[in-house]
Parts: sequence; structure tokens; C-alpha cells
Amino acid sequence: MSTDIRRAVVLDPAAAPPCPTVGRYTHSVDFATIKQVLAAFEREGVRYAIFGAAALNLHGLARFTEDLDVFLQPTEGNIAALRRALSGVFDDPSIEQITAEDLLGDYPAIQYVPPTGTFHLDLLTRLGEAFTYADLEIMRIPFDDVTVSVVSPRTLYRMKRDTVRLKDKADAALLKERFGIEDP
Amino acid sequence: MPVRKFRSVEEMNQPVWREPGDAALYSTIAALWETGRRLQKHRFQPGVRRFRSIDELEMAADTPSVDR
Repeated sequence: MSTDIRRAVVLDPAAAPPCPTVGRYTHSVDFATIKQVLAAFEREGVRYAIFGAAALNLHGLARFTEDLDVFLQPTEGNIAALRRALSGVFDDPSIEQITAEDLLGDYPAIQYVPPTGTFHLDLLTRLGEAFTYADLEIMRIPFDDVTVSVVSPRTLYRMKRDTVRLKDKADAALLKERFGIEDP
Repeated sequence: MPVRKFRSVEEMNQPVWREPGDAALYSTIAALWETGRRLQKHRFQPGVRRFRSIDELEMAADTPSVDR
């Protein structure tokens, strides 16, 4: 099912078309929107990997999140593809402010909040000194009826294990147990 | 399965993992995200923001800027 949300998002949220459904649940706007964003990434050939809480969801543990964390291959062509993908979903001129100059330079982390204001996309080209795109183990797994790129449970574990946030440490412990991950 | 019984609260609170591709996973995610969205007391300021590190970004993400 394809739902064009651009006009609804920008002009009048009440005019949004009915949400798609799975089983007896109505998909939330953000579920449908995030799926549309990822489908657009796939169409435009964006080289990316989902990490963070959204990755935990896609590996099998449902968890509320207000963001979609995305690691991007740091090339000018890939950032251009990202802008095309986002512009295909959101009618929002601010998307042009997402530039390779920043992401490949002094600003490796960019946050984009769509006009709805209900969630944010965190776009990264490197994560401290620990991770670059080339360091990631990436898997192709389903997100409902779209197949998407997600960091492996082992990479997600490594990302969460060494952070200071308690919820990340708890997630790391869950991943370790579920996937039988061994520390080096 | 309308009734489930547990020998302890700890057992009751064990996380429920599902397999990627299982329709129940996506319906659960959708229901959970919808509930979370309805309970949200804030919105984020639309637009693009740049950060020099993930730490800066996470600090900003923890401080939503617009009340609903």
C-alpha cells in the first residue's frame, strides 16, 4: 500500500488519508511515515544502516522510540541520494540544509525533524572514534513489507555496551543474552 | 492465550522477543509507537540541526522544544 503523506503533513494533519493496518492494529502515523522514509531510501539507493532503538525493534524487541537513527556511507553521492529520498516523502525545503559538506566535515551528526514534529531522524557518518560506516556489520531484514539495512545484533551490542546511559546498558545485556554474543 | 500465569513478577516482566518477519512483531511495534505518540507531551521543533558529535545530538534530543 502506498500513501502519499506529503500534502497531509504540510497542509493539514486532519486531512491525512486513513492509516494502513496490520491485523487489528492501525499503524501509527510515525510507523507508516518511517516505513515510507526507508522505502524511499531503498528506491534512491541510499547506503545506510539503522541502529539504536529502531534497530532493536527490527531485531525483534518492540520498544517505543521517538527517533530513527541512521548511519550513512560518507560520500557526496550518498548524501545527495538521502536528500532525494527525504524530499520524496516530505515537502520540506529545509531538507536542502542536509549537506555532504557538513556530514563529511565538522558535523558528523545531523538531526532532521519533519514538519509533523513527532519524531526525529538522527543522521550520522561517524560515531566518536569508535565507529565509521566501514566498521559496521549490516544485515538486510524485513520492516513489515519493506526490506531494510540494519546493523547486526553484535554491532548494536558493541554500540550500546560502552555508552553511559543506563537504558543502553540494559539493552546491551538483552542483546547479549538473546543472540549469545561473546565479549572479545 | 487470554490468561498467562507467572511464578514471580520478574518472570512476568521478561522481554518478549519476536522473529523479524513475524507479523505480530510489526503490529506490536505499531501499537506501541501509537500509544507512545498519544502519550507524548511535546513536539520537536521541525527543521535541520547540526552537531559536532553524537553526545551533543543526544543532549539536544533529550530536551524537546515545543509543548503540544
